[in-house]
Amino acid sequence: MWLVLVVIAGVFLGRIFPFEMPKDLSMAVLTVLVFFAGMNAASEEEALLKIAKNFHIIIILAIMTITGTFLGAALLSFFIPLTLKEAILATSGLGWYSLSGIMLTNLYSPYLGSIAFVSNVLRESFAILLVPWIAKFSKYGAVSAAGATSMDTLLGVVTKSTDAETSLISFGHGVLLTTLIPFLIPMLLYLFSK
Amino acid sequence: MELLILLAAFVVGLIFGRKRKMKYDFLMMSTIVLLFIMGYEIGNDKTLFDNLPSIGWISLLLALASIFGSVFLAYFLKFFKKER
Repeated sequence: MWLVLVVIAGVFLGRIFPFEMPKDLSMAVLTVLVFFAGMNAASEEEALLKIAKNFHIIIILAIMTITGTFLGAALLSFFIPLTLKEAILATSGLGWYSLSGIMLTNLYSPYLGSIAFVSNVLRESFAILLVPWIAKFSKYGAVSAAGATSMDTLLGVVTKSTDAETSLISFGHGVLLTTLIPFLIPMLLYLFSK
Repeated sequence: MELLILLAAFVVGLIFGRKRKMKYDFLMMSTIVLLFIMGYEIGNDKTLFDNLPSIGWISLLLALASIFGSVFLAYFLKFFKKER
C-alpha cells in the first residue's frame, strides 16, 4: 500500500534534512489519531458494549499474537545467525520498535537492540502492505499481524480493510499488548537467564 | 501514563462521535502524519542508518516470521468465534 511510501519519504527527508523533531510531537499526533479512531468506532452502534462483548476475543487474540510471533521467530532462529533466545527477544516488541530497541540495547546488547528496532519497524511496514490482503481471509489475522501497532499506526489500515467491530477489537488488542510488552521483555530476559 | 492519555482520547472520541459523522477521513490523515514522523525520526538516526546493511536482512526475516506466525495462530480463532 502507498502508506509505506510515506514512511520511505520520511526516512529520506530525515536523512537529507537533519532536524530534531520535538519529542512530544509524535505522541500529540498519536493522541489525535486515537481520538479520531474513537469517533470512527462510535459510528458502530453501542461501541463500548461491543468491546465488552468481544473482551474474551481480544484477550485470546493477544495471546495468539504473542505465541505466534515467538513461534515464527523460534523456527526462523534455526536459519539465521541468532540463537533461539535472541530471535524471540528481537521480536518481543511486537511492532513497538522504540521500546524494544531501547530495552534490549540496555538490558542485553546494542547489537540485538538495533536488530529489534529495525525488525519491528519492518513489521509495521510489512503490516501496512499485507493487512489489506490478510483481511480478505482472516479479520483476526489482520489485527494480529499489526501486533501492538493495531491501536495506532495500523488502526486506520485495519479499519479500512475490515469493519467497525474489528476496528474496536484492533484497538483493544493494541492496548492490551502495549500494556504487556514493558513487562514481557524483562520477563523473557529473566526466564532465559535461568 | 501515555497509555492512559490514549485510552482517554479513545473514549472521548467514542462519546464525541456518537452524534456526528466525520466529514473527511481524519483517521487516515493522522495515520499519514504519524507514519511520516516515524520515518523522519529513523532517517535522522545516523548510527542506525550506518548499521543497516549488516542487520537489515536478519531484521527483515524476523519481521516476516513474526507476521506469519501471528496470522497463522490468529487464523484459527475463526473456528472459536464465527467471523461475519
